[in-house]
Amino acid sequence: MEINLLGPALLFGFSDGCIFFLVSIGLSLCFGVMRIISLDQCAYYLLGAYITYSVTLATGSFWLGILVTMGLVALLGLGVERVIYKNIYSKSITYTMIVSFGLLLFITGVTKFIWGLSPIPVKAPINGSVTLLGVGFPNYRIFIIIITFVIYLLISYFLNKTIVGKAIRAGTEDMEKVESLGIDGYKLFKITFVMACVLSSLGGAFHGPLIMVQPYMGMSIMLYMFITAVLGGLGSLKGTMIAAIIIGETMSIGSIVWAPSTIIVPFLIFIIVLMIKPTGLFGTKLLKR
Amino acid sequence: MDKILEIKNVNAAYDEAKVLFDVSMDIERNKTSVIVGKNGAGKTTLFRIIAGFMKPTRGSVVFSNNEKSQNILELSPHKISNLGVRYVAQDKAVFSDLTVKENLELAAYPTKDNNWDLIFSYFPKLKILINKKGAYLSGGERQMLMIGRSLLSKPSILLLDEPMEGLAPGIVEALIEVISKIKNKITLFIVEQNIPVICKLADKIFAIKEGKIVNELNDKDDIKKATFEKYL
Amino acid sequence: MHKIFKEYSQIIIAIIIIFLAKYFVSLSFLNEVIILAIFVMSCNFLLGYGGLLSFGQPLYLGVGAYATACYLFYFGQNPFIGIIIGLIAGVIFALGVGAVIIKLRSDYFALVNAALNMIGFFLAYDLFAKFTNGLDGMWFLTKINPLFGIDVTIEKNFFIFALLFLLIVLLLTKHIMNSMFGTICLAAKTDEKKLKFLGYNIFKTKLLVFVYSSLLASLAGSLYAVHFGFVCPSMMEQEKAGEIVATVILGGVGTLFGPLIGSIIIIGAKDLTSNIIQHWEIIVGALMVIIVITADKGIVGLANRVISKYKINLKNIE
Repeated sequence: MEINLLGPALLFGFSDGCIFFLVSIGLSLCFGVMRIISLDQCAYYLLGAYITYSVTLATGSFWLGILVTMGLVALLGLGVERVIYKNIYSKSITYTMIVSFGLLLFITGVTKFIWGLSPIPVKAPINGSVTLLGVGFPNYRIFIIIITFVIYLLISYFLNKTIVGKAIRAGTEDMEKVESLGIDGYKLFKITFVMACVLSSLGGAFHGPLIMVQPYMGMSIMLYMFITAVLGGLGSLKGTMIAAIIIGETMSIGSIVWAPSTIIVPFLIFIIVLMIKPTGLFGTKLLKR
Repeated sequence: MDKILEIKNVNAAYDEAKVLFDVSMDIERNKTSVIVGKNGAGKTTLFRIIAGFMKPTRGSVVFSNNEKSQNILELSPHKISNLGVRYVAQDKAVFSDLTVKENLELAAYPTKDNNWDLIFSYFPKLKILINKKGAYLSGGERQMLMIGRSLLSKPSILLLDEPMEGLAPGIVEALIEVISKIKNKITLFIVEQNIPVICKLADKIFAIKEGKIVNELNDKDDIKKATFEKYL
Repeated sequence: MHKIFKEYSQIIIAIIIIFLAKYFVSLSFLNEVIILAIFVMSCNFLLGYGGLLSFGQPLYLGVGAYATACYLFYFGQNPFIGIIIGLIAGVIFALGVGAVIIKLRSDYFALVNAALNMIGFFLAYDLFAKFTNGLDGMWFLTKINPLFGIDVTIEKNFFIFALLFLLIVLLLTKHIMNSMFGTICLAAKTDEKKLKFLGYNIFKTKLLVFVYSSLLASLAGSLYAVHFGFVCPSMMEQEKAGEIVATVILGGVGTLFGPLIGSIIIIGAKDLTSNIIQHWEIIVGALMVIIVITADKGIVGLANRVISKYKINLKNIE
């Protein structure tokens, strides 16, 4: 391992971790509140990348692309929740996994149909780089770290300081008790789901410029998203963030120690942690209601 | 009798196992009704049906308040709660990640009832513990918070499922005192197996055995003289 | 008695139909279908009778394939023994892994299988590359001896060979489905608690389902190895796991013929170059959602409903 590559690897790994956080927090929250495994979050990640790309291409503004993406995905999320999830909250975890996977497949196909198969290179909205630790570190990646931080703080504020957020935190523990206090649990479900979809789409939108955007990127990210969420502890904001950084860093550092470890290390960590603490790093035993 | 709750022919089952058979009872407004019975007799099931967490196979529950009556069985639990029917479950579980303050905030939110002073007058200890997270409260403190929570937003009827179970005698005494204070201003429907409590508080007693109502005691003297061992 | 005869005769008829199909479609297509059908049966049984969803089934395919491949590459040349080795490897592997992961909650189970799948893929193409020849895979076509004088690597011979295995698998699976064990499995899917109270060992039940399913997957892998005389890590691509789950749902989860029909459709659809079929994900994904939500049993379920409606109409006419 070359020591002078360690610093840059840490930086790159950290920004990768930030992307993993954005991509995984949706799934984590959905399980915490609704006890569903929403694999279709990968589809909103996918759409996030493509819609942002298209709007940017058409209007020249990446930021407009982000806004349009958030709006469209929010609408889609509302639709999906109403048509599909509303009727299956009480079903088993396996059931919702299969349904959400089918949804992911469907949206992957639609994306392929609209935008075609060829991978699309997406230009980063921020150019240039700074020299950190002897290596050029793209400004765009600095932006990702900052924006993820901001988003994390916003979510944390929402969950800890607003009444709706507190209700959601309470609902993660016991939705029945929340209902018996007179609060509509179903509304909380809707809010959580739409939030999750928008966050996943942001993950996709920001990830786009770092990788080639192609229709199967939703399927490719599924495992990493799932692992990050479970590793952190389903339903835990802090846990997802820490798990995401761990996954990002180990993949990054692993790649300079031993190239193949990029693929293998996340899965090894996942299995090891699961054997020691099955509920994840910061998870609590969340029973399926 | 001014009935706040009319339970008529309620039948319930878990899959094929029937647990309630034609349960009918009238709950009088601003009186304290107690339901006694062995574990598994169906008491909690009945409460959960009234609170909206379970659907009976047959029957109706009519809630009357402010000149209006309606069958609340079709409503979702939060709507039933907003009508004034508050269910305090048996498990003494408050929200552990939220502080006492936040627990009360959530309870006050639907009706914006912020008369916390009233709650603190019943449970002064809650004021001291106001910033403590639910996870760090003792069993008795949690029960105080659970009942305090349900008293916010001015309920018309409280369904208390074994409120004294597992609590230290000192706490039980304190709770009895609070219940005595509120019992004439609000309807209380309590599941209880603690005999001294029953005798002190009950205006009316229903005995349930294997899913059927087997006895009703209305008279205060009858209640004082009765033995309940056969139902427990 | 009559009903059982009818059910088993359905299997014979299906085999005969496939046999006769060689006059209409290419042998390579049929061979692919048979191998895939056995693999899909493994996932179908795991989900339908074990209630276990796995996103890592290609791993078990690979275990059988590579075990057979290693035997034929390094040790012996008898394809039949190669397949037996593959089966044994599959069973041992499944016993070891299953003992640990069966107890996990369903989402963890699905995910851990996927993780193991990735690790297995990695072992084959990197860590054990010294033995497995890494990404290039192992070639051993020339090393496969004829079985009783017949060279099974030739398409038309392999066809008969594989068809026999398919027959055995269908009969065996049908027997299990009809047995007491099968009934317990179905009950365990919906009402674990009740069964536990009755004294049944749910863990052992699910483990047996898992082992049988891995057995089938390994068989598919071994057949693949013997047919092509070649294995490579890409057979174990975790990405294919989702497709297999989709095929299971489409064919009809928990049915006997669902995997067969699903395989025919999936391979057939991929071979056709029509524009619509190229976007198979749209159709398959939508169907998956619809089928699961309507509690349907896929194509087999549809066929059953059509047949019973037809029967009811016949009765009304009489």
